[in-house]
Amino acid sequence: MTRKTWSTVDVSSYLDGELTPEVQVAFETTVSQDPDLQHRVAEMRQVVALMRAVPPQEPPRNYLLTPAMVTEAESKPRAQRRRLPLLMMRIATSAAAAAFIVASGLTLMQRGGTPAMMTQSQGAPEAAIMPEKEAAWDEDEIEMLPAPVAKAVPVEGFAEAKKEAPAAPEVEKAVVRAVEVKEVEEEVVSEAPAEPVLGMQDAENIEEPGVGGGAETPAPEGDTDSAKVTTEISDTADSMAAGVSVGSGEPTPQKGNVPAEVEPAPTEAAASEAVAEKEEEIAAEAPGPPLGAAGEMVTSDDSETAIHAMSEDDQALATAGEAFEATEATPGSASTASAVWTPIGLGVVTAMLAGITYWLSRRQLD
Amino acid sequence: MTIAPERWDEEALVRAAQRGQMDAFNELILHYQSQVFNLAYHILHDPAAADDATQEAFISAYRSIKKFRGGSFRSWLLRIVTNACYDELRRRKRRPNVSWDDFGDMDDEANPHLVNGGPKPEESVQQQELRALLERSIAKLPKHHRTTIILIDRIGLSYEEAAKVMDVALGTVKSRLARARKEMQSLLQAERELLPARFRL
Repeated sequence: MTRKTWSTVDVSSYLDGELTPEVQVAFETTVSQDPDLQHRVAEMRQVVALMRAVPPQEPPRNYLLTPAMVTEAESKPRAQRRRLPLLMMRIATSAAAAAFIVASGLTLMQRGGTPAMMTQSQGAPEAAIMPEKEAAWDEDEIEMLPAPVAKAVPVEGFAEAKKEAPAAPEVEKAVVRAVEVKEVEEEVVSEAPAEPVLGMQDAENIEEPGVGGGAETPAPEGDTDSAKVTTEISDTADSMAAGVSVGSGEPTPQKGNVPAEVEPAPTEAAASEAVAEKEEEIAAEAPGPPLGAAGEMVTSDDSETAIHAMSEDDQALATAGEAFEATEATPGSASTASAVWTPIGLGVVTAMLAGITYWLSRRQLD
Repeated sequence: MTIAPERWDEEALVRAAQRGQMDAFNELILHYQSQVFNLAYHILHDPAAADDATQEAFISAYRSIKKFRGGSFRSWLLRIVTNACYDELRRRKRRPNVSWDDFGDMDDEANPHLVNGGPKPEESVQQQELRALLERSIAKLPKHHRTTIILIDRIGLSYEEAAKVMDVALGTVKSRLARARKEMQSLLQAERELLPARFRL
C-alpha cells in the first residue's frame, strides 16, 4: 500500500501505534524514503516527549470524603436551588409581557384601530380629523351634486360618529343607516333634472384643493376648507331660498361660485330652507363643532322625497350622535376603565417582574 | 496513603462504594486524585479552581456512583471532572475573574496550593522552566484540544478512554490530538531558546 501524502493525523496516530497494521507498514515504507516525512515525525515525537517529560502536578491535598461533606452537598444543591426561582421568574415575566402586549393591542383596536389613528385622534382637534374614507365619500358626493348642495352635514356627522365611536354597535348601525339614506338621497338627486347646473369650471373648483384633500391633506387646512365650503354652501342655500344668487367675490374660488344666471326654482328654495332648519336642529343637539347647513339642491317635484330622505338621514345621524354620547359620557364605566387600566396594570406588573428577575440573575452569578 | 498493587481491586471497590461504603470510595479517590487534579489544573489554569473542581467532582461522583454501570471507572471519573471544569469555564466566560498571569505573579508563600503543587526542591531549575513553558503553551490551546492532549499525553489515557471521557468518536480524538500536537509544536518553537537542548525542535 502506497500513499503520496500523509496527514498530521497519520503522523500523530503512528507515534501512538494507532494505525492499522497495513497502514503502518505503508507509513514506515514512506518514512524510510521521504526525508520530509521523517522530519515531521521527528518534530511531533519531540512534542510528545516534552509533554511526558515533566512529572504531573502534585495535588495540594487529599480529597477524602466524610459523611458530613456528602450530606452537606446533598442538602445544598446550590445551583438547582438558585436556578428554579430564576426560571420561574423568567417564565412569569415573559407571560406578563405577552399579556401586556395583547392587552395594549386590544385597547388600541377598540379605541380607534391603528396606533397612528389613535394618536391622531388624541392629538388633533376633533373637527380637524376627517378619515380618508369619509373624505373620499365627501368628494364623490360633491362631484355628483350641483355646486351649491355639497353635503357637509352628513359627511361631518358620519365622520364624527365613525371616528369616535366605531366599536359601539348602536353607532355602527346608525352609521350604516346614514349611508343607506345617503344612497337613496343620491338616487333622488341623480334622477332629478340637471338644471340649474354649474359650469364645469365651477365643479372643478369645488373638488380641487380644499375638500378633495381628504385625510392626505393636513388636518387643520382640510378642515378649514371643509368648514368654509359648508358655510358657503349653507349661505348659498339660504340665499337661494331667498331668491338671491350668491356673488362670486368670495376669497376661495372653490366655495361654490354660483353663476349669476342660476335661478333656483321656488320649490328648490323651500327644500333648501327645510334642510337648513333640520341642520340647525342637529347643530344645536350635536356636541362639538356646529354642523354646517347643507342645502340640498332639489330642482323638481321630488323635493318632498328629498326632504324625507334628508330627515331620515338626520335621524340616523342623531342616533349615531346619541350613541356616541352614551359611550363617551361614561368615562368611568367599567368597560372603559378596564380597557385603560388593564394594560397599564400589566405594564407595571411586567416591569416589577423584570426587576425581580434581573435581581435574581445577578444573585445567581454572585 | 497508597494501596499495594496486589491488593488493588478497582471493581470490588466500586461495588463497595455503590453499597454506600465511603471508605472504599476514598480508596478510589486516593488512587485517582492526582490525575483528576492534573486534568482540572490544566483545563482551568488555576490551582485554586482546580482544587475546588476536584473536590466537587469527587463529591458528585460519590453521590452518583450507583448510576455507574461498569466499564472504565477512571474514564467515568475523569468525565465528571471534565464537565465540572467546562462548567467553570463557561461561568468564567460570563463573569471574568482574575487572569492566570495575575495569579502567577503571586508569591508562592502566599498561596499554599502553589507551595504544595509547585516544583519540588529537588526539581532542577531547568525542569521548573520547562514546566512553566509547557503550562503556558497548553493554556493557549483551544479547550477541547487542551483536554485531549492532557488526557492522552499527560495522564496517559488510550484513545478509547479519551473518547469516553469527552463523549466523542474515536476519529474526533485522533484529529483533535493531532491538531493539539501541531499547535504545541508551533508554540514551543516560538520559545525554543527556553527548551532544553534535548528537546530543541
